[in-house]
Amino acid sequence: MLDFKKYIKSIISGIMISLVIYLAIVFYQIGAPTESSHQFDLVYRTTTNIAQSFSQPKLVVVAGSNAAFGVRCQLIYEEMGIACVNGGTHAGLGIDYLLYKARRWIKPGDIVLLPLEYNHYVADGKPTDLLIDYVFSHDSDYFYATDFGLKARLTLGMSFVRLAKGVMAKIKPLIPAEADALSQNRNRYGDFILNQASEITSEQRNKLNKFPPLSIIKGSFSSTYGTNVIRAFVEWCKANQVKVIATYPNTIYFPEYEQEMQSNFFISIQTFYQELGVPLLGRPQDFMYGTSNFFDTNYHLNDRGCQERTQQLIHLLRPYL
Amino acid sequence: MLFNSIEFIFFFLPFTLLIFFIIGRQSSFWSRKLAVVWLVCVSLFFYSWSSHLYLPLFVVSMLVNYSIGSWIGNEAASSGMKKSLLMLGITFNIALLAYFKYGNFSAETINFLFGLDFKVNPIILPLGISFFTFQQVAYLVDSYRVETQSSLLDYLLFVSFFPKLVAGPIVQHKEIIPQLSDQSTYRINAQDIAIGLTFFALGLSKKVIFADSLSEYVVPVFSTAVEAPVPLIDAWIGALAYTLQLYFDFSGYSDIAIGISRCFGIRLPLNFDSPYKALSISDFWRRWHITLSNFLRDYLYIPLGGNRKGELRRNFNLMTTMLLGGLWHGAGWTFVFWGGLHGFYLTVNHQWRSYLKYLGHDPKEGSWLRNLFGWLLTFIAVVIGWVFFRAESMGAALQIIKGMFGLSGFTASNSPLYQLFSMRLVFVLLVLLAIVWLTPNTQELVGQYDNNPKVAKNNTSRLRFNLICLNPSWQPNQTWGLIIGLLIFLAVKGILTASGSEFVYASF
Repeated sequence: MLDFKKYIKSIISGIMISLVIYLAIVFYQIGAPTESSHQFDLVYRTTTNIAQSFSQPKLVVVAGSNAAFGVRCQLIYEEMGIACVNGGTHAGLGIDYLLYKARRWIKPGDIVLLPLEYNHYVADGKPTDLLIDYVFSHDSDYFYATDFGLKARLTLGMSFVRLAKGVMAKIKPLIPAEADALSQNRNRYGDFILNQASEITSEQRNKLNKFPPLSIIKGSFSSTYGTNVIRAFVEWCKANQVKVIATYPNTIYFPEYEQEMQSNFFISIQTFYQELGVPLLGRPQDFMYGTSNFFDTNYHLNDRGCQERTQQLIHLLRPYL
Repeated sequence: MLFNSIEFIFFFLPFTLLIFFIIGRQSSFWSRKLAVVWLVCVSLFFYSWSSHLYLPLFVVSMLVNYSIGSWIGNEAASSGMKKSLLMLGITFNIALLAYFKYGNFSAETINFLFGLDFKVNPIILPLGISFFTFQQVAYLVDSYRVETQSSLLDYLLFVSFFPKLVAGPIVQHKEIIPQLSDQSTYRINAQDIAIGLTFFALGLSKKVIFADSLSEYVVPVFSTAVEAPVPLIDAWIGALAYTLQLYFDFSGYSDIAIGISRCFGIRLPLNFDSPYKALSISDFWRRWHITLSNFLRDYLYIPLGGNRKGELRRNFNLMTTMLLGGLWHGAGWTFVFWGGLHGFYLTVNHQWRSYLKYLGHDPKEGSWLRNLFGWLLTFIAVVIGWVFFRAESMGAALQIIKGMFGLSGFTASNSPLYQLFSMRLVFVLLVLLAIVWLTPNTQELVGQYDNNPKVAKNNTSRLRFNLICLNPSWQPNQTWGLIIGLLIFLAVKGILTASGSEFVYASF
């Protein structure tokens, strides 16, 4: 009779040995910056510098790249006279991380504007490649501050390719880029400025015309990981005398968004902010435009679209500032 | 809940197993019943996790079928009454399937044919309806043949048992019910758990490590085909990648189902037997989705007359069976065409065998050259068939077929695959083809230690593919334990790394 019990023990040993070796390699490369994480490091360093440079109360725009490409803080400052920081980075970093970093920029008396991308509302909390790459390269504090579940997801969520890059970066460190290298892309309010409509290539135009409606906009939702994170952030803001205002992100218009199933999604957002007591500016369609206003993706406006979107935003913001 | 999800692997499965064995270790009649109740409850929970809206429908379907099956099996019922009840039961099942699976498709087809604008609200497909419907139809027919006898509780588990609920294997009443009355099923058995874990690990690895990594090559080609021609290289890469993806996905799912079930001491029938090693299209259908092939043979092809009424009628029966088999896979003309294409292949195959017999040759005896030719021809025919199976429309499928025959150029510099086309892609495809062609399948690997008479084996006699056959000789020893442990780690890590993906067959 074969000893199947020993075999089962060997399987468990195999899992444990693999896990230990893997964890040892992951921990070895923590803090080694990869090349792919550099641009976000520059964005965060620059935005942090801008936020810290204002001593007076300011408006902080927090979202992914729809804000970087779609909101012009410079215009808000010029027209409304309020200091404004564009904290739009990348939606792929995930809602938890976007709001975690935003806490570093905010002081009591500030106002936070949340034009969050739609996917954040139904996020399931699974870390993305982008977040893992960035956190293990530049923000081990975030890693150590998270709960066990997220730590496990961040650690085991790292691809072997990323792990190899991290090990290589540890063995042969990359030379860190200077923060001012970003000044070519962003102005001193953090707005992305290299999105001129005149620079759009025919390839980009074709790509824009092929974008389908956002599939995430479908059906209603109530309590999700994403809404829980936003709720916690709003409560933190309230506790720190920070006012929160929400609005919709800029994206390409599709008639499908008028249908009942899609409308239910927007209604869920309205209900969510209503329950939180957070003002929600405008309607989703107010910030949906034709492809001629976009730059390279369905969330990235070009400068003309950005101008239009910001003017609408200023009009809606006035009663609250 | 997906088998390749963290909540299933780390919470649902271990908890369910633990409670099952705690309840079942008492050797009393009632503890066994309680263990079955437990499995029914968790199976319904498993179902409702993904499809809670349709849980009542699923439960009602089981109760109605059990009631009708019991009446049919009642010895006091007259023959005419039994036949009427059988018809009633089959109509009930087919009506459910027709409404939920083919309602939208029928409306679209009628609108297209008659230029109407008949609106039907989108109907969401209840999870696993194709599988549990077929299983219950088989139960009714078996009841009519006086082959069934079970309590309601056992019946509920037979239909709802979660490892095979969503995408099979399609099991027959006689394959499951006797196992539920066996006391040994309810005791922890190290051999069952060891073999179950091995099946589970190999299946999960097929799905996560192989199948999921192939979708990046499949999606661009089939998306491009919707609106543009697909050149030769791209078309073949897309078609081959999908051929491999579907096999690793579905056979991986079946291995996981068999493995999980085995941990509970319940043996499910083999569902895949290295289909891409098939030497003819008939051989392919004895190796691919075996339990569906058996169902179609036993409950459709043979009742239609099978091959007993002459060649012409046999060919008609084959075509009818395969067309309906195609439609079972999905409500779309591409699926119907795929079924028809395989009906055509089978007809040609049978005619060829008849011709060989006419010439005085034995179709079962083949030289290595004939086997090689038969294998290559079968594989290419199957790959062409999968193009229709996967494509979003007939137009898109024809674009890829044209590309595969070189009618749309060699390769395009602006094609989505152009930048992906690299040594890595070629290497991945070659390695995976080598695995499906040259290595033993899970059952062959583990089966030598699976000498339990309860195992439902595929005993079809057939020609075996006898080119190089690597045999790593699996043994329940320390080395293999470590390898299986490593595979489980890699698969779980793969689940956590990649974005969640569903099993392809779960959507049928």
